[in-house]
Amino acid sequence: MDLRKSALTAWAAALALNAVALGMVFVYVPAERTMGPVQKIFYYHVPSAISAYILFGLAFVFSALYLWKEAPRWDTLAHACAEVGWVFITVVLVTGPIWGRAAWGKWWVWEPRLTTALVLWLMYTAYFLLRLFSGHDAHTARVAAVMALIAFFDVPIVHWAVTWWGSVVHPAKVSLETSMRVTFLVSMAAVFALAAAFTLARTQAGFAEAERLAGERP
Amino acid sequence: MSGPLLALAQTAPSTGGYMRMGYAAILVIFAAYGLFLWDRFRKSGGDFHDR
Repeated sequence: MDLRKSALTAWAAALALNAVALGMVFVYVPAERTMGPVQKIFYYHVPSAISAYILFGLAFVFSALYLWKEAPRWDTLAHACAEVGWVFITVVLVTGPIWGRAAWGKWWVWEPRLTTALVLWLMYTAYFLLRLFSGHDAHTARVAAVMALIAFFDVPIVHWAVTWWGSVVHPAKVSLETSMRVTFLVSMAAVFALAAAFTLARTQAGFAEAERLAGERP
Repeated sequence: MSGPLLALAQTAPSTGGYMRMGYAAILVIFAAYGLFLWDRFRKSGGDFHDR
């Protein structure tokens, strides 16, 4: 696989799509009736959440492959996907309260989706703390892989929390006006392209670090 | 309830400040991670090559 070409294509697509998406968010799409302009956070908040779900899913698959095959490249890929997923779930947890403060009058409500999303963020934070303070050996990689497998089970819980337990702030289903739907689809493509560009760059840095560490070992 | 849940505004409340705060936060997070990643990539001695 030509990672260099893929990475450059992903960055070019990410920059172009985000320029278009932001133009549509700030210029094209009108404000929502009851919440006003703050509802426009939706166009990056929701795609960031979906990107995080996908990246955590990939981290789950690569971690399982690492435990099965014990090839370091699966660990590098799992670590990269988990890290970029964590950045996107951080965007969700930062933008959500800002939107919530304007829409509901509160920065935070202990309702099922917010609580389970915070738990998800904390679990992947624990994953990085483990990786940060436990070195680069195979034992750490195995423990981290198990953590990534366990943490992923919170993703469907976050997603279906509203359906299972209800919510005072998150609707179970959202229907959109046409201009909102078009803007949302463009934003989704833009955020996915950004996630792909970050993941490719992070993967390449991970492989380079692994090569350097392997060269330093006696 | 009829019609879309999120409907277009005729007169919308003034929550533009929060919208700008939200997008500023998104920009800061992505830019910070991009810089972190660039620095890490540079220090790793990495270069994009086929794998």
